[in-house]
Amino acid sequence: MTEDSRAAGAPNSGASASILAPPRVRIRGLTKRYGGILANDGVDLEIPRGGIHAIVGENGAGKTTLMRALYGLVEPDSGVIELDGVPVRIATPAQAIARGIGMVHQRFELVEQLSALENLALGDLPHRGLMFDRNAAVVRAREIAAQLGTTMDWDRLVAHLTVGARQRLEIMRLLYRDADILIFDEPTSVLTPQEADDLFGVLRRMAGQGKTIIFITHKLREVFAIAEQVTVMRRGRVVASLPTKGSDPQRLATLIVGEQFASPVRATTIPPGKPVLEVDRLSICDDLGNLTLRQASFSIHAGEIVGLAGIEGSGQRELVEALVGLRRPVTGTINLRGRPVVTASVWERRKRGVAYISEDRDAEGACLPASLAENIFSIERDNPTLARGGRLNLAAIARFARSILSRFDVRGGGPQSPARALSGGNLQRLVLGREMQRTPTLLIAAHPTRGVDVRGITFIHQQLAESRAGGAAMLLISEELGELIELSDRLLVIFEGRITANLAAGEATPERLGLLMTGAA
Amino acid sequence: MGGLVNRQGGIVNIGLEPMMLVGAFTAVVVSAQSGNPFLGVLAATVAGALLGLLFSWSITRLGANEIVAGLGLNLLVLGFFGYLLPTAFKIEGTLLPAGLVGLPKVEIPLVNQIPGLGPILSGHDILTYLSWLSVPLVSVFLYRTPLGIELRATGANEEAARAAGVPTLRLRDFSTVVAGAFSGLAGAQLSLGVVTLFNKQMTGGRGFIALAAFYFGDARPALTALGAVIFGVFEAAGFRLGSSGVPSQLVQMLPYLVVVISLTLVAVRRELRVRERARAAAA
Amino acid sequence: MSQVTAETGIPVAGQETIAPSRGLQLLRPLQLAGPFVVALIVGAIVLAASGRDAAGTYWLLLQQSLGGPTEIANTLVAATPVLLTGLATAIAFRSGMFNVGVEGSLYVGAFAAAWAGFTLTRLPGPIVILVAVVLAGLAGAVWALIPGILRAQWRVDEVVTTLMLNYVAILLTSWLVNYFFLAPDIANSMSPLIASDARLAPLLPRSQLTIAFLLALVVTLLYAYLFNRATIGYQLRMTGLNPRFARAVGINLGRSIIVVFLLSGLIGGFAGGLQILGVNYRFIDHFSPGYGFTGIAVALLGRGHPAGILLSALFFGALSNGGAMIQLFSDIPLDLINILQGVVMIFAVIELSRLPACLTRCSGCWRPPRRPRPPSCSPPWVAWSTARVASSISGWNR
Repeated sequence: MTEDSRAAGAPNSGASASILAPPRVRIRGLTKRYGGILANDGVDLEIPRGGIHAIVGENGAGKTTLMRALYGLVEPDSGVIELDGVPVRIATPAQAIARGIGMVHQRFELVEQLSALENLALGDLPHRGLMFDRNAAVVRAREIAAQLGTTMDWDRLVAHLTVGARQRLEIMRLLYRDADILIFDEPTSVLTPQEADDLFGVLRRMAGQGKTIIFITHKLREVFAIAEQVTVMRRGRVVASLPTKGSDPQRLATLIVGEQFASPVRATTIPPGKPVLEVDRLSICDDLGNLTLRQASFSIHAGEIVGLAGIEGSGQRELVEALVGLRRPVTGTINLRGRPVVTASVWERRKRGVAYISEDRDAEGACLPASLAENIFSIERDNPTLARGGRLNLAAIARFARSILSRFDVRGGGPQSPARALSGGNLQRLVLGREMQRTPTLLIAAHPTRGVDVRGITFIHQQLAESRAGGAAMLLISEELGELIELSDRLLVIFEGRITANLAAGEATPERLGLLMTGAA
Repeated sequence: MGGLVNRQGGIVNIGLEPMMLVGAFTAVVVSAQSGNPFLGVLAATVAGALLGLLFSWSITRLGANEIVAGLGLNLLVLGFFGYLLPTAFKIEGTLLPAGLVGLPKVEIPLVNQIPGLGPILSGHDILTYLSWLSVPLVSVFLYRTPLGIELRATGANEEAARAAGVPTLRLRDFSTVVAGAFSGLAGAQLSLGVVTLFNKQMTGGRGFIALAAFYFGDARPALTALGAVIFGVFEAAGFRLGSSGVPSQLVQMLPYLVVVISLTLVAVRRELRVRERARAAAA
Repeated sequence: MSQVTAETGIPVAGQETIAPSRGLQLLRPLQLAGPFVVALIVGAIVLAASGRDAAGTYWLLLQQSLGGPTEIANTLVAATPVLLTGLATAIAFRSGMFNVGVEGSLYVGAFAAAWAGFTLTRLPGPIVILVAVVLAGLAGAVWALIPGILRAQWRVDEVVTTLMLNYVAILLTSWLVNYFFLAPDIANSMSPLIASDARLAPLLPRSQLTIAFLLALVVTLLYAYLFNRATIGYQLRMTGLNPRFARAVGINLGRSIIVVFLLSGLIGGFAGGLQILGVNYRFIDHFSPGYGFTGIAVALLGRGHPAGILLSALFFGALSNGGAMIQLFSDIPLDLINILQGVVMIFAVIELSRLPACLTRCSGCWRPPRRPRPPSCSPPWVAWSTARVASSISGWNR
């Protein structure tokens, strides 16, 4: 496959010529320091022309910083960037674009209030005289879409596009600007499995057209699925750069974490206890009054993990919010240990043992500007040793926070540091610690490992398993089918707001779930 | 319209009022010195634009908070004229220099013959017509030109626009300069068109009514113009009713109450509609 | 400090995620004092340009605001209402609610206190004072509750409603005074005087410094306690920092909103009531020169911090007291004070440290946009309301 795409990408130069030519991108000794932390520590990297090059590493390994430096969003402290052997200075994205470098960010950089077409052409709008030449833009847009083998409703506002469509639009924007080095920063983290497959198709097609694609990820499966070459980063340094052929996930995982790690906890079957959560014919609307969950009925027992599989946007979010108490259902009942809670407030439910790991860690799971202690105290307001008679015991709160931080191995700050200072993985440990501390009877865990590195994932899985062994009932939502199958005792599948399947752990395979999630079975 | 361009460019400009004042003052002084009102208008535009540029720089380049800086600008300019008039011109209140020439009224032939509508549509100074014309012009600018599209992108999502290579800083400066120029024109219209004098109270909160108008209009040109007209009507209605025995305070209160009530109604209707839809969907 | 700035959305110079270099750290105290220094320089230029002795004028200003016990007392008197309105505003800001309606609470509070003062003339003085203060607080709280309930129940944007209700309150009290409670024999729109023993007694002879200032200090301490030590204050602070987070951990947002508006209105009402009992002794139509609006400036310049609020209230008090005196003693217009205030505000938010970089290389001074404002207040309306605020401070609307 490597040879194929190279040959297709550079028809004029033979394979031998491409070896002699300088690499498309060469980074030498690039260093970037944030405060006391070395994000990039003398990074050397060579990326040949054409093909797909993966960069993997834990959270905070420096992948994104490196790519942002290449794209002119980060000014390196030292180091040289060469394109085709020529040293260049890239101080702004505009300069990067001018040199044919484009980047698709984790968070899309689209202007929602503009149409797809306007977004496509933004920064280089064709014009006739003073006026925007819409027709020229449309012609160009159709060309690019055809090149990728996809379509787009060009007059639609971006605000109304699906996530997958937005990502395709981002890619087309790069092509519109004639980028031939395309950087993707964890592009699949927001996609459904189907959309991810579509994306891989597009990437292969572009690689086949001679583009150089740099693909940042921490999903090893994806590395082996599409990349020919992979660079492993750890703590700001490049630790290895090797072809995927002849390597295997285990070896790569070792390189990433720098040590052997225990294989994930295998759920041992424990006979489930009494029902903790009983949901009966629950229907829920979103903010606009659209019915997003229809007549859902299920129950979760003590000591049982129930996984909820489904394409994002199938009603999971509304279900979670209704269970936690953030959203009032339209009809139906929710019983917690036999008592109805459908009208109970979030706080009442929390006092009855509901814990909640939000899928949106930065905006809902934690309060970034507040201190770690304040984040931890948030659900301990009824703890008499921390607050009594409406008065906070600041010393006790700090002590309490310190104990949680050490118990859950949260690194990167003390009780008084702002939560903003923590990396994603550490922040998730903090959230987990906060929620686990109260030994919940019902834990709602929405995407608990999203954006967390390998080591953190193992830790979180262990914690969830421990909590289950302690008798907690758990609803687990994840886009990682492997994780769902690994951890769950039972799996529910949600499709277009309906719960369409209820499988025992043994019956669920990724293939079967995939079919159910897409409504194909 | 100026504020609208500015808002679309991502700066909330509460400095419209001082820019109007500066425009009004410059128009009066230049017009009186030169004897040519059009020169005064030109100078007012330039002065407004310059003040806009300075204001914009403090925000885009020096990281100032637009609201506080705008508040400061309001105080500063008002204080400046309050200080300047008595000390430099030796007058309290109103400046009416000798040789001041106002803008001529323009009668549109034929239109001024239409009964009823004639006096409404005709017989204004040229700046009034210009302000009407600015509605479609700004509309075309924002939605049909590359510059306008980039400006809207900057206002809606500056980071995204910058990442796409749009010079967002310069665009924001540009939008504030446009706002300043429009405000300068508005000031000139007040001091040379409506009346022919300058005092520091003459703008009477119009810069803020303009803000109200373009929020009313959701920063869209046509709706904003409508909002401006509605606010104008309120102002006029306040004057009329006040002289007919109804307590003037209650009449003046009306616009404020109307805003509160209409906002509440909009919100209540929004909530009810969602609930209604939910109920219908569940059924 | 960083929290405060997150809530008010006001950037603080030197507060960056990247640790500032040593040189910048040395600049910091200079930056904090910077606005005042710059204002004085600008003022001096203006004075000099109009042929006046700048140093002498400043000396006079200083003397008139801080030069002796009486002068200091008068400065404290002038600082009292803006300290209270500043606190009232800051409570809301820190809780993520943009209550710009303190002026309205102040008016209804003042009217309620005056009404008690001139109606309950038979009761003994201390009781009248107590009743008047309580009524003032209640009236202010009830007034603030209107937008609070609208916000909590129907999600009506509070910025607009509080702002509009200011003008409604001003006009409503004006109507009440002019049509129902006009003082006999006086044509100007004033209510009768309050009972003489309902006046707050001066703490110093020949001044209007009363217990009101001490009460304002107590409120400042309570404010500090609320946000640093009290559970309810913690909940309000989290609501202000991140309402979604607050909801998810079980903080009742509706209740937070109501509590905030009640407290904010209560303090605003106190401000009005104390002003009547201690300074004016009667309700006068349009009596406030914009105390509620200056309170917004005080809260912003004080960055929500209790000591900062106290200091900026004292500063604004000194300016208005000294400025008024200067106008009496010389022919320098009071507007000079406006110039100084304006310059202070602009330079309080400008990051001077960026200036050199900007002068040399303009592309270098771009920084990512600051963190978003609390989602509870939509920026457009914030802007508009503050615009109205600005216009009102300067008396443009009348």
